[in-house]
Amino acid sequence: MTPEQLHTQLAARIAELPGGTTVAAAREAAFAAFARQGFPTRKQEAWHYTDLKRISDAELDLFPTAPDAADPAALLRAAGVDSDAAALVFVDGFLVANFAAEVLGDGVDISSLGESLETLGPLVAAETLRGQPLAALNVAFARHGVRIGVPAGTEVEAPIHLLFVSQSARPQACQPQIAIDVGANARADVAIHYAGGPSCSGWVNALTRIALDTGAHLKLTRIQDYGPAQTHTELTDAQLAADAALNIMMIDVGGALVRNDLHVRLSEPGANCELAGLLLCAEGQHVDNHVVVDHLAAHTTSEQRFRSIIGAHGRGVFSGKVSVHKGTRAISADQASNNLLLAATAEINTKPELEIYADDVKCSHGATVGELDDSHLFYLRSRGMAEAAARGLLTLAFAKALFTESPWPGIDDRIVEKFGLALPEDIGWSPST
Amino acid sequence: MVELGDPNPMLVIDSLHVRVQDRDILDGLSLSVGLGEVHAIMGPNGSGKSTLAQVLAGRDGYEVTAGRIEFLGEDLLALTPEERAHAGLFLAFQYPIEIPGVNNAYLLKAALNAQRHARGEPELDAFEFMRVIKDNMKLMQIHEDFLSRSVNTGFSGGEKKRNEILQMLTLEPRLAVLDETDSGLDVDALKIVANGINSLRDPQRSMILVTHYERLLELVKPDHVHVLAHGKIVRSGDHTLARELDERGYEWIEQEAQSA
Repeated sequence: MTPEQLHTQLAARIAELPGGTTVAAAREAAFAAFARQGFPTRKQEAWHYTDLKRISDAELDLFPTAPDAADPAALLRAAGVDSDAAALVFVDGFLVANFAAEVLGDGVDISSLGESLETLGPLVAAETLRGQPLAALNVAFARHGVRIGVPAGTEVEAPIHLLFVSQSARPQACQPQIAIDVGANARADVAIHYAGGPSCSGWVNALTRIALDTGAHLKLTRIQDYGPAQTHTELTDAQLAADAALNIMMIDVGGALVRNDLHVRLSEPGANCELAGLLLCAEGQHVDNHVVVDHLAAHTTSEQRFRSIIGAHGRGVFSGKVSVHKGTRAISADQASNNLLLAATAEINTKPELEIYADDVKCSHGATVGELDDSHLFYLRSRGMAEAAARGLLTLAFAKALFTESPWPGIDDRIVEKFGLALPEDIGWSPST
Repeated sequence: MVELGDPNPMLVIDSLHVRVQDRDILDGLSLSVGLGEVHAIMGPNGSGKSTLAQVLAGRDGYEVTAGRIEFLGEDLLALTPEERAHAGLFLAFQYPIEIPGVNNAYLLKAALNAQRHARGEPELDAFEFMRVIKDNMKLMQIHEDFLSRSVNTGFSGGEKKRNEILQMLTLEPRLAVLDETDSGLDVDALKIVANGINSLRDPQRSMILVTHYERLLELVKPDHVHVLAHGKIVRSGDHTLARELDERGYEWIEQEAQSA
């Protein structure tokens, strides 16, 4: 797909996309930004390990077809979401169920992307798209998605689940857009699920834009559990005001080619982010986590803890950049990348990057790459555990060391299934509960 | 000296030679441990004490170049580490491993049930398991919140050693090998550990205490004391030998052994 071909698609059907003339102008501007840059290539440093040819060479319909039928309750169940949860279900981009309003009441504004674009205008500022051609493409084509607005001082205890399911086997590309605005001293818990069947080989190019006002808290759990043929790219862009706190857990299970960009800007004093990720990949999968944290103000802190488990013929990438800007001070930034390789053909590329233009900065980073520790295996076997069970348990424990509480009910089973792990058979899963 | 021909030996080690990374560490070690006996293996650093403990438990990387080991009439060296555990062998580690992400209760229960399963005994449910370990925890002065903590993670040296003994008490092995369990313990922790060990003494159970110092042996009185030097046992005696070693050191024995 050349930018020209994509623009032909956009021009032909732009009237079907939501928003007034301002939004349409923003779409054209965003598309121009995309066209100037084109699809990222491996010549760019940020894309050194990840080749998007699979997408740029494909012929995809940027206007997905609405699903013939969908069973939201079954989809939620399959995604491990409680049936009484505040949930929105999207299938091939289209909103098919909204259970959030009845659970949450009027305290929270949950509007479809279409409604929000009509009333609020463009949700993503042009500068967010700088150096992000895929996010620009999302803004140009975005048709479905949701805006969550939590008013100042409101605490939303129930997690809000957004489930995006790929169901169609058509060669199409979805551009879901999510905007989360948490007001001053408000608090919210959002879980975004991406899932899909084995025959889905399309592309989901998501954009999640987060703005946390003074003292706001957001916990975001983002789970990617596609079938083996899906391509997924996303930008999560977060801006934090003074004393705001952002806590993100990213879990990647499926997909053929996955690239997650996470960009957090700590813009005012006291802002804090804790970013964590668990990347599972095997069997020809390629999963790339690309994290950038900008410390733009004094007294800001960040933590990155990313782990990956890579099986035979899997390829993982982690690059984590911490940028401490001029004129800041009293910064603390920690980063850890721990990687477990389960086979000789497993591959991980991990790259920490620190850019520090200030004094009074406390930064640490560490990366480990390796197999299971022989001494751990021997310890468990000497206690009577079969070798395969000891391997399974240690592999699961490697992942679970990332969590204080389980982020998602499906996680243990996915790890066990994905790598064909054995466990001490008598006790069920859950070594850490 | 070594009493081969014991009608009911728990363990017979016969002329064991072990090589680690191209170095000969054990050089013809022989030892027989009878039912219900407690043997202390003492010796200077580097004499091969820990190698003996690791070889008994089946650690990879220790190459047995000659000799044999019989445990309850079976060829021990033919068994995997887990099979040795199922047969009733337990090693208390000198440096217990930290395993973040696996909690103590899970490990203990998984280990106990794996062994019960292997012996054809019914597995314990959570309630029965708690009943089994409650008294053991009390004896080892281990607080209940310990069960939900990751294995040995963030434990002090003393807590790790007490945890090893808790595992031993729970698994009730036939033969316990304790590798320098006394090292790094203060007086109080040493007493707790010794109490735990003594509580398990039984005519049907044997123990090998590998130690550098005599102080544990004041609290857990061994039936036999052996001195290991240059990869073999150079002297055996009763518990008074331990005190003599404490007073005189190891040098005189090594010299005697060399001139002999």
